[in-house]
Amino acid sequence: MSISIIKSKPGCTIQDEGRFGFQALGINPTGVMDLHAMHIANALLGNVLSEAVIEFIFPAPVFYFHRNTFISLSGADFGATINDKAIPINRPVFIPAETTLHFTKKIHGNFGYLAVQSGFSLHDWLGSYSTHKKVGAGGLHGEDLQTGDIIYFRNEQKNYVQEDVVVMPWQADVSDFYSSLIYCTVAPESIITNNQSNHWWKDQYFTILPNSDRMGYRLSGGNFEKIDATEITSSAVTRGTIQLPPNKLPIVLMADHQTTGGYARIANVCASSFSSFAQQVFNTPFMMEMIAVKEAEKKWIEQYHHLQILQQACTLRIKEQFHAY
Amino acid sequence: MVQIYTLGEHAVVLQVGSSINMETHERVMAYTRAIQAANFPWVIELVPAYNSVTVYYSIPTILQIAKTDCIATWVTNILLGLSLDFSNNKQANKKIIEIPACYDTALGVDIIYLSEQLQLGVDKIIDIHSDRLYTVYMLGFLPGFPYMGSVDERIQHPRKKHPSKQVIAGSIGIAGAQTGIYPLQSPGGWQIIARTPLAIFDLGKESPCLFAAGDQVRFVPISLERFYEIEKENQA
Repeated sequence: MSISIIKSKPGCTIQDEGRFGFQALGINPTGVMDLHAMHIANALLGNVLSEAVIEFIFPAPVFYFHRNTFISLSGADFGATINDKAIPINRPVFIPAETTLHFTKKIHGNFGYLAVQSGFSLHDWLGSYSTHKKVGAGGLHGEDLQTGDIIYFRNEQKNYVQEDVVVMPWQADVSDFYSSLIYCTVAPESIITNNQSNHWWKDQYFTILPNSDRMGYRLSGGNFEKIDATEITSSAVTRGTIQLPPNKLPIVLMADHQTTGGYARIANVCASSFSSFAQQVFNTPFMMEMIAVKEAEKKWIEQYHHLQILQQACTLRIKEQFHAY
Repeated sequence: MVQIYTLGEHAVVLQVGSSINMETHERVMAYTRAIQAANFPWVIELVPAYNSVTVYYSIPTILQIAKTDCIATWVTNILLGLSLDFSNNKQANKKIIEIPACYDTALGVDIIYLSEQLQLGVDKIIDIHSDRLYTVYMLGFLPGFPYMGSVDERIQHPRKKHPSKQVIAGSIGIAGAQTGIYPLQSPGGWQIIARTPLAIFDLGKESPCLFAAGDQVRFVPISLERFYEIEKENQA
């Protein structure tokens, strides 16, 4: 039971939630850019939410399924097709043996995810399957997936024999997981006063510049003239930390961020907004808003509970579905 | 005089001083030890730095054990209530790591430039750099990269204005009052004065990084011949 890459493209890696517990050693966690998408893709299949997935950008690789496979796609919509038949995202799909999966066009988002039922069979590095390209570890072989790579599955797939593609009757409503407004909280070097001129985000449109990647997104827009950008004594940074270097061109740290940094940390994109931010199409305007940490916690907990409900509902549907066969 | 800041909704930063010095470092390590010793189930990991310790925590775990309106405040109150123990900071308790370092100009590619800039002989730079015990204040930038201090004032020099595209793994550099070792080949701006044949970062090992914050390091000068011998032994 396996999937093959029959035509590779750059930027396609195996990722999970990330490698935690080693940041004190300078080992950065990496992990998926869009955690919600990874969790949703796994929930749809009845997998453990933290099961490793394949992350890809557009243009995406061409995948080949050797045997009947139960998959789900989530995150970006790149117009997936099997035998010229369109495959939706956020729904589980049964893929018959000896078929290829293509991605035809960029409809929305930056990072797509492919999960398979039961997950991939991989060797971990320090407890995680996330590909860490800098040290060449994790994933299948520590780098982008290549043409000819074969990734095996953990277990046999559910016995569900069909000749053609079948889109399963359940789906994930992802509307609570994404929003166009990006929420942030204060960070250690935030200068928060009642003076509105220091509200760098207020009534401003932002865009993400194209020279952005898994390490950091470069922001354009925002009122940063009055914000202090003095360099600091190196200290920890995390996902979503907005750094303001002395040149006042802000960088938002993404999945491949370093563990520490010396630029002023002026805010942090909320974990509940991070997926939306990661999927924000470059050069397209959006707005940001500062909220209290208490509010940010509330938003995150709501999504966390929503995800658990989704997982329970999907597990029930899978039981029903396969009981019938 | 500890200040606590949030860093996102899953971490708080305890800032225990404003500059880089031994006293601040000892406070950082005392907090790190106190949090580790408390063994809180909700702590995911700690990141000690020059003047701060960042605590990453699990909101779901906290939800199971606490009823609180604001998790960050709850975490802050617990961390501020910890009692610190400085006894472990005694010199005798610190791990000392000896690092063979070859200062040959073939490997310490910037040592001649530094000698000119500092108006000090190459031998003098070697003597000064290898004469003291350094403290690993923190790791960061790259997996296993140790930020060590403090470098003798006579051999301090700022980073390069234009970083080198490729610094070879094992390269030992100076940046201001800091000295460090590149664990991997990487772009970098530190002034390279030597190279060690030891693997600072080893993927195959259960603990892949040679250093941890709080360790003490001494550089032991070796010849180019010895450098290649040790390198060969390590590969075998």
